[in-house]
Amino acid sequence: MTKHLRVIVGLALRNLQRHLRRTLLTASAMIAGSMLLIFSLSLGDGTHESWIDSGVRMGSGHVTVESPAFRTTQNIDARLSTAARQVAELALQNPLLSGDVSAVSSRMMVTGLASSAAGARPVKIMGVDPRSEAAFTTLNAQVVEGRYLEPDDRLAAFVGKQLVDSLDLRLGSRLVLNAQDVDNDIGGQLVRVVGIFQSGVPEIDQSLVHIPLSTAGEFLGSRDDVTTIGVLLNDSAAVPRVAQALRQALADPVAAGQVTVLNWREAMPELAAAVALDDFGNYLVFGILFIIIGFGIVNTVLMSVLHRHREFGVLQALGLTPGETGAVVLVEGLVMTAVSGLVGVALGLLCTWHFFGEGLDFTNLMGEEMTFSGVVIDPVIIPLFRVTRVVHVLLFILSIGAVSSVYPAIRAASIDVPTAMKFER
Amino acid sequence: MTSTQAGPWRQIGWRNLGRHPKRTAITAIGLGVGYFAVVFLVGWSSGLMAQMVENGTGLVSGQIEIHDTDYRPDRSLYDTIGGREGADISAIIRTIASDPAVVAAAPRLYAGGLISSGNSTSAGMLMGIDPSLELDLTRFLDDLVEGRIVEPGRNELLVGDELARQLGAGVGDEVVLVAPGADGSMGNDLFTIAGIFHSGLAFIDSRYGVLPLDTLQTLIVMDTGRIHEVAVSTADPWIATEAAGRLTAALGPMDLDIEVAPWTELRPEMVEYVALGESFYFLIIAIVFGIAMFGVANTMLMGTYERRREFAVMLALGTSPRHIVLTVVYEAIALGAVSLVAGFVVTLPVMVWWHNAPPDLGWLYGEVTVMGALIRPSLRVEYDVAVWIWSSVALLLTALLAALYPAARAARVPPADALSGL
Amino acid sequence: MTDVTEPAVRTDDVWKIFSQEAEEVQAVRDVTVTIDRGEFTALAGPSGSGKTTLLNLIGGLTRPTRGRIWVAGQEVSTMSNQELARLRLDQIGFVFQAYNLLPVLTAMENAEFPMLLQGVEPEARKARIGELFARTGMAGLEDRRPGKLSGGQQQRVAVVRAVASRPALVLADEPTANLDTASSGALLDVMVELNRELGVTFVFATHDARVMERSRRLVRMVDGAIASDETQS
Repeated sequence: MTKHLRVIVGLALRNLQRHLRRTLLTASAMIAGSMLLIFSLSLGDGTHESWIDSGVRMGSGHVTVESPAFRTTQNIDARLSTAARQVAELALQNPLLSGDVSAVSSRMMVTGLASSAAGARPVKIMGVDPRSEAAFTTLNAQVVEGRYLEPDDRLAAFVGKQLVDSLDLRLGSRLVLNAQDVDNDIGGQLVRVVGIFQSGVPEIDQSLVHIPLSTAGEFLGSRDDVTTIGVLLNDSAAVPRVAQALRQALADPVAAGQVTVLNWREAMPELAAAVALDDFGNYLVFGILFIIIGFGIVNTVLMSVLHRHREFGVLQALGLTPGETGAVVLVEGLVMTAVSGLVGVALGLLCTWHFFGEGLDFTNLMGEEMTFSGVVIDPVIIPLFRVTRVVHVLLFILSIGAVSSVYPAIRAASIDVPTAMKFER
Repeated sequence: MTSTQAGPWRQIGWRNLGRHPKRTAITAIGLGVGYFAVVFLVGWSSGLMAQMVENGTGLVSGQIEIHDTDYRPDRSLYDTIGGREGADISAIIRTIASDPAVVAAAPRLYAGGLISSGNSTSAGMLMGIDPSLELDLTRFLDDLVEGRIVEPGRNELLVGDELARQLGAGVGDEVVLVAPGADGSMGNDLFTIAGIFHSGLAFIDSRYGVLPLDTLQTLIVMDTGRIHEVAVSTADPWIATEAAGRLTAALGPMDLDIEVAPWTELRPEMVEYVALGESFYFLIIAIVFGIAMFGVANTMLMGTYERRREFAVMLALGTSPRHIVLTVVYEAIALGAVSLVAGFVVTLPVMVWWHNAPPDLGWLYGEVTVMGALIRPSLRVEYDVAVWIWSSVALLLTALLAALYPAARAARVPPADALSGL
Repeated sequence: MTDVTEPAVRTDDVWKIFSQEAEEVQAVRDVTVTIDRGEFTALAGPSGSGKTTLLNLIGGLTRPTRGRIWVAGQEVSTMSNQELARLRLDQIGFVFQAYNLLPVLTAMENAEFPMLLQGVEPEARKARIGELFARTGMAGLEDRRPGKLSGGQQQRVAVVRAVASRPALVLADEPTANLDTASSGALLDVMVELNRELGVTFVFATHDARVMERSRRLVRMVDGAIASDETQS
């Protein structure tokens, strides 16, 4: 078979050329479909990256180091040991990882009550190091009044707008924070509002309070301890690598059940579900589109086979096996698909990058702020191009071409030579 | 020269489909898939939206909420309906329930506090309810994970499963509730956990404690008759706005300083989101059928190319080119009709199936919240007759448009050139 | 309209020159000929002699480079495309070598096609076709599609179609070329009888000896020009 390969490919190419209009029409459908697919996928990936970035910044990072019990109990007893914390923070400074790491913030997170003269509200109290947290969170950029926490702050609080309104507070007002301390008593602390933020996510604006880690450590009795180490990466694609490295560095505590390393999908399953749902929708649409394109390919290749009865008969009479005859058809379908797929992908990448490289602005459509799984959607979407995606798309297109050409190839291979030579078409 | 010659144009067009049954079948299936695709995609998207709206309004909050005019957005403890004196709750509920669109109405009272069980203390939002009325209104207390619903007058509490986990407590355990009272004191009392619920919404399951209205009023020192909210449910979320208007009028005589807010007012971002989704429907139709058009055009081009001698003969016999075009157009229409039938035959049963018994997609992705409303993963679809009709029109248009160029080429065959070489 | 005293065909000094790349092909040169009604005439010659081109010129399927042509008294060479189509419909019947019939129509539907275009009433159509099918031995085969008819039968349907619309003349381009001897003979018999009984004018382009034998007038063409023009008694 292989010594005839050149002949087979040559025949296939010549056939495609002969009915150029037909080839171009089918190719056009494939090109259009591929362009759309690349456009949609790159926009989708860009959107997801934006969601993930927002989400993990408001949550606990792309990668989270916590005690396994903490996830379920949210109890101060389940905080990280000093040893584990040090190992983790050291590992993150390793030059191999630090290239991927954008920010690290170690926090003491407890649930508690915030009260003022006007009432009480359940809140999430986050004791943070103002410097490292400022690099991590986006809330410091969403200040409505006042400022974010500063390293010298002691009894300061950074509070959400809706909480401020509910408790009838203002900049500079005082509020009381109560939470369970390390002795299982209820500790309390008076703090002053130094800054007010508005993120757009109701759950966060209603219930998140940032205070300095030292303040938290004092009234909770936990001193420098933290419950969570959040790691922010430059690109979510680096998550598996960094998580793995951390797990190795923390091998002993992990084995002892004291520490677990989570990726954002495990830490924020709703966000993961939102991304998966969006991806699923995309695959559905394009799956169907390419089925339709596939039918078009089947028809085109099949018709060209039926028109060339005599030619295939001649080929077999001259010595090509039925399998090789079928191979000609298969190659035709594959070449047409591959070339149009490549052209479509290239055009798609080019056009998306050229026209929408700065971002696709949906502000007209998305007037109000929209939240999806607790993340505010930025109406400007910047497309993200990933090599793995492009490769997947090309493979997908090739398989469509292969599958669509199988039936016509079988028809070509099963031609009866004498019958074929008899008919004039 | 008559422009409408009598002739067997329809027959020729229709019968031409039968000459290559396989080719016709493949083309028709391709178009039929397009039809199914459009109807399904639009239906699935509508299904997601419907879930969002239903759950966003029906799970916990109700389609209409009634508050004192000062209550929103601060939601202060003191801004109860009817001011500090309160109001005649049962009268309000009765008035509301008499509206034909209303399914149920229930009173609520909210207070922030701490819940301690043995070793653990969590902050929580305490929600006082009237158990019997509440069960008619919302769904999140319907299937308790464990235990039973609280009974009026008792020191009983329902907690979300997340909260139960944090507290390390279960049904039958005792907890202490601490909450600042309306008179400035710190209310605290012992409560027993009567049941555990799971709403699917993280912030409810991890933070809400549900107890009888009268017990909460006692705890935070409020008179009976003081509530923050009356939640109302209507059968269909989309009639809420209209019903809210009626209720405002009906409650007018009671001379309370209240607002009757439908969910469209409370959650405008949900309305926007639905509108955003709907704006994409025509895009989907355009893309799907745009792509399908290539396939049909190709098939028709090949068909007319094969028949160029026939066209030459017809022209030689004196047929006007317009009628040559007509036969191709009739063929396209016939193809469209066949495709429509093929598409419909698959679409109808599948859509009915996925509307009434939608397959679960939990294995693919988990529960999602959109705009704070829970969406469970499934292939649930909603119908919209308009979409079915538009898609049919689009399908027929696709067939017609795809045939235009081949038809034009067919008519331009020069008879002598085509016939020579015979 | 048409003048039945005019000859079926008259040409005057007709030339048809094709320009192909660098070459010029003189397909028809300086042809002047008159064919009267009721004639049974063959244009004979080898391939490339111009007989088919001359037929196409007469039938208005192609235009002369030089010269004039009249069919049934109307000047063909200056007609618009629409007028030509009208002429072909009303005055000329065609029988081609092959692929005459539309595969999706029955024999009956194929035969009545020109009459449909002309607007002839259904009863009249049925009557004419019934009679012609009977004459041509095709009775009972009206509802068959061409795929189910033999080559000879297909050609006969083509002849019926050509004649049924009562044209001034029937142009037949190598009608027997694809048929075996028996079918050729039968087809010729049919055309001879129609010519004799109904007075239909037949003009053939042919290189088939049998056709030439049965033709009353034989116009031989060589390299586009008329070499000889003999009428047998």
